[in-house]
Amino acid sequence: MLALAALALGCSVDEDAFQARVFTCDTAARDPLCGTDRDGQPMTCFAASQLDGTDFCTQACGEPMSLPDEGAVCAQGSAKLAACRPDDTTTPAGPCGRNDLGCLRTDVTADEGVCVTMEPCSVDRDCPNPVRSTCAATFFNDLYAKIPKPPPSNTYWHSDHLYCLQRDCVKGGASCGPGQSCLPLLVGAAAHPPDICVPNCDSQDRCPPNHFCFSKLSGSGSPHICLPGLLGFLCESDVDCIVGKCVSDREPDPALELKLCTVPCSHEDECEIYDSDQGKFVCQPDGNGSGRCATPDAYRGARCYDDADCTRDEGTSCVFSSKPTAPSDQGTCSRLCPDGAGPCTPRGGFGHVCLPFTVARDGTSKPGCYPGYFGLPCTADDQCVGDLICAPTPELPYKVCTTLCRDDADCPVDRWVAGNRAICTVGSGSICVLPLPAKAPCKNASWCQSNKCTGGTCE
Amino acid sequence: MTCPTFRLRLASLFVVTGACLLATPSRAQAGEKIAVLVLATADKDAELADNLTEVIVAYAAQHGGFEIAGKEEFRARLGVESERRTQACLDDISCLGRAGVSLGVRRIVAGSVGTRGKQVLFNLNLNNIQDGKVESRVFRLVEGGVENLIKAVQEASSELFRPRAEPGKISVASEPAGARVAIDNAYLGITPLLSPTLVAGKHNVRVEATDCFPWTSRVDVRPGEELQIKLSPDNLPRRRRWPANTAYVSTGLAAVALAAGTFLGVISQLQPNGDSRQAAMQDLEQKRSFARAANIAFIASGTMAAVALYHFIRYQDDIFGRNERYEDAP
Repeated sequence: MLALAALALGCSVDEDAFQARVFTCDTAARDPLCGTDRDGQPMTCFAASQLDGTDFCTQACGEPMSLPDEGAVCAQGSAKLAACRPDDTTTPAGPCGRNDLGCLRTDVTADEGVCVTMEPCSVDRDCPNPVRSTCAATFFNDLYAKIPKPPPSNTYWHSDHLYCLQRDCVKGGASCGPGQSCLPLLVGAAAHPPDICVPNCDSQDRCPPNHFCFSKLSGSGSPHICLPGLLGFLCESDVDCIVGKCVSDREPDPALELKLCTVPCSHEDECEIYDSDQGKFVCQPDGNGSGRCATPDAYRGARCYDDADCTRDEGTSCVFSSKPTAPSDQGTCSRLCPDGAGPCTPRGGFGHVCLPFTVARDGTSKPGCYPGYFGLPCTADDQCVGDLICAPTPELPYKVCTTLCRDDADCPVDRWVAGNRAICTVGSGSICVLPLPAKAPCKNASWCQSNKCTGGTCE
Repeated sequence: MTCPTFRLRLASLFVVTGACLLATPSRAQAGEKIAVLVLATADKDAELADNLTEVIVAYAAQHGGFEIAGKEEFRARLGVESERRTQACLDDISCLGRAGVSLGVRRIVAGSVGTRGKQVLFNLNLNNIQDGKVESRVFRLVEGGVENLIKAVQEASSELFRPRAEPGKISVASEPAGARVAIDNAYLGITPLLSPTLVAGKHNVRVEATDCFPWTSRVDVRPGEELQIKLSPDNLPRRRRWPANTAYVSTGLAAVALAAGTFLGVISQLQPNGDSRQAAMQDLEQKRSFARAANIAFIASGTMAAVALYHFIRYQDDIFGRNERYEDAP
């Protein structure tokens, strides 16, 4: 009895305190020396340094996902991070309940976050690092400038508790910090990449929370960098999305199914506010009586050098808009047009047109399917995205996805036309079209790509 | 220098005291006849000597039941007149013997008194003229007035006539022999032992043998008798050493284990350190071992303490010795 009493009241180490301690580690080391957890399972080193934090040891987990039962989130790299609520202002020591961990928001459209070894920012002045001097909140607010401030009551938008990033790597000519890359230098201008530095994927294609490894999801033709999980971007799990949740596009063909970051919607207006350089958004019905904001930009296809790079979408092939002149020229992974002429079936609820001019790397014709953006040739309205229609014009030998107009000023008003140089073919078809190629009939110089209309024909 | 006032007052007080003593109903029975003679050491103290003699005579008559041969009668029998001659006779036992025979007494109280400043010195001897020995003697130096002197004389008389008790002896034997013997806390030797003469009455005897419990008793020694004490092995039971060894060793081990447990326990509560989490885990494991060791040490300490406590209680006589009390022997 005495022995039992002594054992009951005896000495013991504070296992809980030890397990709660944060230990730094080095993700670059062969063995990060994180040891094992309480259950003897090996722990892992989480690369918080990718977000200007300190790498630290944490429990390992399986696939990236939210673990609500455990109050944790399994991030990429099998790192289990404690979940937190960034909006929690009641806990004295912060949302994570301790001073050595900050609550990094993992979704600007929900009160969700993870505890990591960094001090989250809400404005630029929260970023003391002279290199990473811009808070991601600034970037998001600029990108999604159409979101009213304050946001509408039915829209949750909290761009706080985010991370500091390096901006203007092209404009300012500054090199990105170690482990980062300048996004515009790696992604084509057509994708409207923001002028920011992004983390590189690690050797196992892992990225910090709110990011996904571009090359992992889009194929080896894409750069080996981590892209923020913006609305409409590819993702593997909710952890990858900084805007919305990672949801399947419910593509009937499993080989072509994509998981995209999206937010729920019930009306077009709820999606339009997310219109940005990263896409125009529509409320696509999800079959459950509600909808999700989606953009046709998600279906433009991965970048590729040849067919071997088209691993993301099974059955796609690498096509080029014109015969490539250099081995470094990149094409797009596209579904080939059925029978070489179409029509193409919609994808993700967005109509696709068959582009007759795309070719293989050797220059042979290889018509491919592409979202029916403004100005692309079509044969039916359902091949065009948004509210565009497939209409003919005497100046072109084929129909194009377009919108009706009365004069040139009407064209930019349409959100699907906006951003393009468009003219209104008043008098003939009264539709908005891209400037006409050479030898096309024209009424004035502005109708022509060359800005030269001679004798009623574009030069 | 003599103080007349003092002398006058002294004389009157002696008279009163003597009268009172004589007036007290005599409890003396017709018995032994004694002679009393106190001489002055100087002529100026002759009156003081007479008064002192009277006080002694009165005391002897009242308390001792003696028949008294007075001073003058005594001197007459001695056939001397001067104080110096009388003193010389008192110092000569054969002279005293003759006077005693002549007076029909067996014992004579003889003494002297003198003054030195305000102090009065006197000595008294009770001489047995039959065996020529001084049975008892007293000496006093008194100061402080007549009352003190009278009181001192009475006390001296009482002591002088107090019958002397015959001494006794104690013989102590033990089995086995060689036990140490102490009487009245004075070590006398080892058994077998015959004590020196002891005043009759109660005496504390302690006999102690090596590795045995001591035997103690309060014995009554009768006058002129020899009290024999014989101690068997049952009286001197063996005192075991191992309970003390066990108890003290257990206590020491308990203290050492407690100290070790405390040390290890404190170490185990320090925060694990290391360059990495793995290193800290190894440190944690080490501290866990320290905690386990601390618990084992605490258990061992408790067990040892229990063992020690059991032995201290169960064998307290062997460890601490018995509570020795000198009780009267039956």
